[in-house]
Amino acid sequence: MTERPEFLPPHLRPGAPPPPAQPPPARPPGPYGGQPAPPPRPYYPMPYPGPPQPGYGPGPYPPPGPYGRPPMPYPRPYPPPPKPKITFEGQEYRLHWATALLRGLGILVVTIGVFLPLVLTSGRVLAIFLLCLLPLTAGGFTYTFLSWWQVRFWISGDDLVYSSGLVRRKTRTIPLSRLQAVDVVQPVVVRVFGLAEVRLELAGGDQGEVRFSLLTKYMAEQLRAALLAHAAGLSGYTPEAPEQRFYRVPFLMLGGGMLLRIPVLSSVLIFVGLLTIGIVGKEPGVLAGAVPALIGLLRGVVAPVLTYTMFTVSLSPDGLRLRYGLLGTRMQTVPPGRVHAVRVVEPGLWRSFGWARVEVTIAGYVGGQQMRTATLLPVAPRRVAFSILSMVFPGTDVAKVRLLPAARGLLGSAAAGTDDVVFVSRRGWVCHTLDVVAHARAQSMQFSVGPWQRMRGLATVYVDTPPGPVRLAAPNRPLEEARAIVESEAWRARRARQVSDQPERWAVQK
Amino acid sequence: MSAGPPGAPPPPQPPSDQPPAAGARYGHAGQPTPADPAAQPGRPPQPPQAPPPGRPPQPGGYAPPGYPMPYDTPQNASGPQVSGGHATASGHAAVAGAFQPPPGSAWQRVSSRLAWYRRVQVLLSAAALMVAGAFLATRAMGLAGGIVVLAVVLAGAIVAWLLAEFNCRSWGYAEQDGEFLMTHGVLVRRFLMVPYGRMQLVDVNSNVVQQWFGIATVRLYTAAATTDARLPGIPRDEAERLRDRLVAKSEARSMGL
Repeated sequence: MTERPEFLPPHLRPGAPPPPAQPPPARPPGPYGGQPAPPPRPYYPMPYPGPPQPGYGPGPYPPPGPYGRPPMPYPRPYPPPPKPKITFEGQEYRLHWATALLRGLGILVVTIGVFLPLVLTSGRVLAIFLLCLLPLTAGGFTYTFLSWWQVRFWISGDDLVYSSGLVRRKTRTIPLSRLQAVDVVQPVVVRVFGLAEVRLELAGGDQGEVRFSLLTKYMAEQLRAALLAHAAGLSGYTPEAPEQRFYRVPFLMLGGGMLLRIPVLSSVLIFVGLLTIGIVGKEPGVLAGAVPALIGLLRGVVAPVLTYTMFTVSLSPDGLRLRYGLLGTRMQTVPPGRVHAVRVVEPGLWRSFGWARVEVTIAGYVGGQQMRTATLLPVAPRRVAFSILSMVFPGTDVAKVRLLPAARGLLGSAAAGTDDVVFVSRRGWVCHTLDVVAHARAQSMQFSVGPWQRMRGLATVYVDTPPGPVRLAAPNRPLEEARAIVESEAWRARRARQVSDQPERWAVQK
Repeated sequence: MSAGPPGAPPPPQPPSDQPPAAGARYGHAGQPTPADPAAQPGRPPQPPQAPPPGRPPQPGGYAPPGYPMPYDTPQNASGPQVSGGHATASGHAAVAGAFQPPPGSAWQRVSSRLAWYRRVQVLLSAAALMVAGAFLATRAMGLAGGIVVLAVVLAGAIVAWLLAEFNCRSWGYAEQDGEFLMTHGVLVRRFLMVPYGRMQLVDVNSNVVQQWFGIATVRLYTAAATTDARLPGIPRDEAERLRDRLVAKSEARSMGL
């Protein structure tokens, strides 16, 4: 074939001058990595064509099939108008009025529940009780409505201000740079009404949690977006960060994982055995043992399955997003760099399936709620667990850290190792436990020698982290090595703090 | 012996009973030190291993290749193969070696008045125990029971009285550039490093008996509850000076959580 330059476009013909260098198109810097915010879409076509009419719109149409034309489509309504963005700046907001109603109802139910068994003796006492209940109810609802009216919150500068108190006004100013995590929680009762609760986890102190209960679902999401934007150092007009789904726990894996645990299986055995004995021996007394076993089974299997149904991990510039729950739902957001330590647990029965559980230490989650909220993955394949570890601790692959075996202990062998970012320790005989602590987050490091260990010339190394499910210990290291580990860990922690690329405000470049 | 290629791990020295000096054991990366095979009596001396061609010698454990090692570890000196999994030297010398102060410094010891404070504590609690225990045991089991309880409490008090001296001597602390170091313990010995950048709070406490002895307890807090950094028995003026120094250093290096 011959080249026909005249068929080429002018700038490609031989001898044509090179095209002038085009500057890259200017992209307005968006809040999340240079992506511009999409222009607002009108919720009706412009120009407005009038209200939608039933019938066919303008063509072209496919030819009618053998059964004639398709049925007339119902006109699709326009999308609902977008709700206005709430920034919570410069204006005070109140909780939803249902807060007062639900709290008042709660007080009423508790009062009736406490006193009803006492007053069910005769109709006369019951009538007096009901008469007394009327002013009590009125007083209770007045109190809850007044205290709801006094609760106000707004964002001023970088602080969240929460003011409450019926008699004495209490104003709490919360610096948002100390924000550790934001949860949007919908318990069942609240979810029925389309409401939600926002919980802030803050670092330090026993007043570490702030609750906004209750808000409408839309307002709760707006509040979360505004809080995260302020904590990241952006303006309150920032849209909510986009997110990308990373993993969803399949329901069968969740149910199987919760069932395949040694305490659960043994209580199943006890329950079946007791029932068999009761049926064969016609002895109803075994119910005294079988019913608690069944309740324990429900608590051990059904409750976590209901809690963790549809467990979804997503990634966003705001950090990790966890959503889960069947009846009551929970949406957790863990901003980057807030995770102090992670534990990967592989129970003995799960190991044959290659499953693992991931728990996490975050500075805010302390107290009784901790064990329920400290789960990063209730059950997942090992590779997923390790890949989420490299999301949590960027710059390292925990599965590739070389672990040095320790001297043999009574129960299995342990191993420990380190790299630039994390210190890793593996323990356990039946149930394998892998503890990971970021150098930049290590609070202190120590080793201790007990009398039995002294005879063997061994020591246990600890890297301390804030209270949580992770307690990193590397047992049975030779004495000299223990000292060297502690000193090198201190050195690495100092270095990691100096070059820490996880600023308090994660969207602001240092 | 044959000269290895440059950078090869140093050959093991003949075993000796003396532990090497602190500087030799925990020297910095700039000072290459030989391994201490005396610390591994259960293993035969290994022949010097030449690293594979084309690869630099890898430090043996706690650092990736090419990473500056802060301290020479036994792994570092023993070449590319992993040397974990063996108990090394046991006994008094090894424990003393592992709890040595860092090179170029010495443990600051606490006041010897701490021992007397402990003895007062022992006396007071033993007296209370003796009275209550003897009374209850006599009522329950007769005179013989009371005498047995008295003897047990007395024996415990004597042991605690004698141990007070050891306990007092076991406390030590050192202020380094980046970390606060401390050690204590008689039966269970501990060695603790707290980075100044992680300290949240330093407090000085002194109860009535401690005030009588003129000593105080200095306690450092981090975000971790397991950092049990408590130093009893510091003279009170020294305790306040120590607190001020620690606070100044932690403010200079504070890094949030």
